[in-house]
Amino acid sequence: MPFDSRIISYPQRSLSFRPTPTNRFENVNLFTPESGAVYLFASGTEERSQHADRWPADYNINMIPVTRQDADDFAVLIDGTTYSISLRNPRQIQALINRFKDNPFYIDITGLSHHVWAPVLSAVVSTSRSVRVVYVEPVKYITSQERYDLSERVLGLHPLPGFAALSITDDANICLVPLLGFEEDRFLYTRTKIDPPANKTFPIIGVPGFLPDYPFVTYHENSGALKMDRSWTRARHADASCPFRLFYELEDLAARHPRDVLRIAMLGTKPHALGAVIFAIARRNAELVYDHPVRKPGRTDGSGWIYVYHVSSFAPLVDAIRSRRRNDL
Amino acid sequence: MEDKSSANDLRSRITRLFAYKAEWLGHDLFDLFTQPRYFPGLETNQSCVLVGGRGTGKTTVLRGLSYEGQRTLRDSPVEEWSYYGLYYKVDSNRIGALQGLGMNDDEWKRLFGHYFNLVVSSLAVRFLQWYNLNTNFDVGLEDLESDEWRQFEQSISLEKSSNIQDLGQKVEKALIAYELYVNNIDDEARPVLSIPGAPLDYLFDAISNIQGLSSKEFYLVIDEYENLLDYQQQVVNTLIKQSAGKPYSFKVGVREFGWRVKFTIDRQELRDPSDYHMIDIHHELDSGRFDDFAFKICNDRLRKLSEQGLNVNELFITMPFDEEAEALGVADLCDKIMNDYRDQISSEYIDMLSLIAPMRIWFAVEWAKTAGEDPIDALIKLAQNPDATKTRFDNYKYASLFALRGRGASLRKYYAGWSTFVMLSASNIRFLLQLVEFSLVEHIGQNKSLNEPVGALEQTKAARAVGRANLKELEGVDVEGRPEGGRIVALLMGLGRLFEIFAREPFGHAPEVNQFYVDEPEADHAETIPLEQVDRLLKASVTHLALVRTAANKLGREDPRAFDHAIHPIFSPLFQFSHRKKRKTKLSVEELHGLINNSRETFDQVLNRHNRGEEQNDQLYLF
Repeated sequence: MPFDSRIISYPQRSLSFRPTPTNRFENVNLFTPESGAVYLFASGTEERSQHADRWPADYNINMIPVTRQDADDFAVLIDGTTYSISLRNPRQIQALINRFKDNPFYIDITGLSHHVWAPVLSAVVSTSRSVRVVYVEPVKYITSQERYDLSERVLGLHPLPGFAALSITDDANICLVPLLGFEEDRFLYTRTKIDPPANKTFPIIGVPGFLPDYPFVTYHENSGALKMDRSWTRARHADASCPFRLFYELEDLAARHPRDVLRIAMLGTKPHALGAVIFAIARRNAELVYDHPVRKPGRTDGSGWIYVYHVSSFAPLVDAIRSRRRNDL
Repeated sequence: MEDKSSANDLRSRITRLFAYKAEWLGHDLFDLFTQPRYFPGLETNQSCVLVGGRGTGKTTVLRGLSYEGQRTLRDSPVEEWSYYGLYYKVDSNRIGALQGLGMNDDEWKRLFGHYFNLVVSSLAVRFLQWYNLNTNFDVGLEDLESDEWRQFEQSISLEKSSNIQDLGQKVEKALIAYELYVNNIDDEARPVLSIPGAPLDYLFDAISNIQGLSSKEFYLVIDEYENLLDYQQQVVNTLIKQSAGKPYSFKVGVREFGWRVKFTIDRQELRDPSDYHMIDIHHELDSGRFDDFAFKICNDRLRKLSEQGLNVNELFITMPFDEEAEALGVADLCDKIMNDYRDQISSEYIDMLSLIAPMRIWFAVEWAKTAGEDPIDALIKLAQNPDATKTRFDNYKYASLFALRGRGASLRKYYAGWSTFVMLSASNIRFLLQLVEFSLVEHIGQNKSLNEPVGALEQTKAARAVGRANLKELEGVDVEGRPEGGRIVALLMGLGRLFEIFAREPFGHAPEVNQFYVDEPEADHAETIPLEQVDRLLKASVTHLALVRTAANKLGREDPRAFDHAIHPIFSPLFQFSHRKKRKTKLSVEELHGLINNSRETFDQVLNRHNRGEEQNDQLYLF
């Protein structure tokens, strides 16, 4: 049979053999960090973000509750004192972490906004500390009149703190990579603002999803926008709960478009957003795009699986940071 | 199999050739470039502001001014050109980082001014590298030794460069340092900030001293100016005002209402024509001029599709009135009327009626029914003297077509013909290209050849699909920087449904009502209705081409309520009302506000006010 370059499936099969350092627990009661760990978290209105509040006081865990999440800074409560930390000052963030010696550092992103956990993660991974990211899935997302209406509004496109890209890129050398969720209007808005070249929108859909039907819901809810520019024909899939699979997908896309900058729009799951942030930290040709949605209260129900992502054990990130340190020297 | 693959190939070629966004054309952009008549107005040493809505071709024209564009468009050698354009598109995702953090606008103006200097420097260095590659001149070390180069480097805190590549690297490093500072603003030492514009004066003086580049003009082409934040527009406005008499000028592309701040840092107003020359694309391409421009663009692209000399006038044939009435079923309706009344009218009149066009017979009966008159009398009068009601028929002739198929029919009107397409596009080249592309794709989807005209049904289906696609796109637009496209869509859906119902029942009402003007709020409601919100949305709807507007009789007023508004004609096939600019109706601010908020109650009130209360049970939502 003659070689046909159109049917090559280079990355897909090999992806399953690549490491995804993750612990998964069936429910939140089965997980507690090890003694001495540092645990940054925020309890929100969603039930799934409140599990750490229920840990007994005699657990030997250094709990750092985030009490405020503003545009430029956030506040944490440590030993009864509130500290305000700038989101664009990695040294302030590192000083916070360094209070707790070399203990493993957990960032529970379930109740934290992207604009808070992303710069915190970026500051922490550049140290040599063990970093793990925790995420609790909801049991389900709430629908209203059979629609997933998860955000009240969005504040508009502007970079996450610490992730602004200000160099000049040729418009032709841009790939838009929307990590899709259920909100088509956010996809449409982002696409309109970024205005990617023809045939250079590569949506990524969470497959498998948190629930078996979620991939279909994603296609259905985004169908209008996916038809424009026929971007559904370029759709890719990555496990909705795995940042590392998303990373590999992005890596493959970047390899196929070596001259392009990937503009990754975080419109879907938090694990996908985490994968995008890790990718943006590790790779130069990536730019995060975020529309800053204001979440609707009560948009999820219950607590589902809990995931612990061993980010500082993820080889591509570790290699990138080592290489950057060498270059800095 | 082969047929299918060649059809797919043809479809891809159509889609590529009729790509309606400059960003989608890639390198084909300049091959397909058609110079609009206003283009020479941009090729002067005066700063220009090119104003136009979405899809009016701003980006294509501005890219045509760039040196990359000119390379393809001109036959003459690069060194003979009189100007070189440096193109820059403002990206809101990037520029949005330069705000907040407890710094006031004055501090940000200095920071942004420096960033803008770096951006233009980077563009200029890229140009010089390109110039080296594309001419016999070689910008070398001796060129960088001049005092002007040193002054430029010092003014922007760059170390001395040994060659253009080195200079490019130093500018890129400065941009990275700036990026690091913005990302770690409390941490990294602030870079030494240059004075807004000062390095640019040195830079272009230095470039003008390079052999081959003396006496040349440089255009700083800034696209999507609306994406700049207000304080950033103030900074660039200042540079525009100061650019008179310098070797560089600005060519700015901006959406209508997108140039929000028209004064400088020290609050001096920019004036046309002393500071800039305003070119309004809508005005430049009105009526006849747009027809010629669009005709040429589409035929040029058709020629690339087929060597057989395709022509839009021959491909998109208009459907004559009688043919359309026939296609909409007037013959069957007329037969039914004659069958119903045959026994009650003398055979003499029956014979006379058989000589009258079916449309007139159906019209006479429908008019009589609406007016509460006896249809038999109406038929007899028509038979006796057809001329007696001819004026009335002529007035309602076109509007009647929308009523032939009645409620429930999915297709109640055809939209076909090149001239119809031009009217639907309302001087918007993007919409026109979409209409042509969608029609051709629909046509070949029916296994038809490009050698035969596109059928009226295919054209109509395509026109409706274009309306639907643009309605979807509107969901993604923003209103003054905030993503409120959903509200524009809600307004459009409410108005569209309203005019659709008006069109479906023309008898007893003014025909072809498809415009509106906004009445002032009633005194006792004035404080409860968010006037500002309604005005803002009306303005945004015009900016994003959901609505079009014309000045009403209250000229000179600034507020959007001083205009007559209409749904953009591109949406008329979707909602099925007349695309011709005809009569208007009054809507109150309260009613508009209700429509924006999807209020069923408001919708019913408006219908009742127009004596169309019987439609109350219809679904408000189309999709």
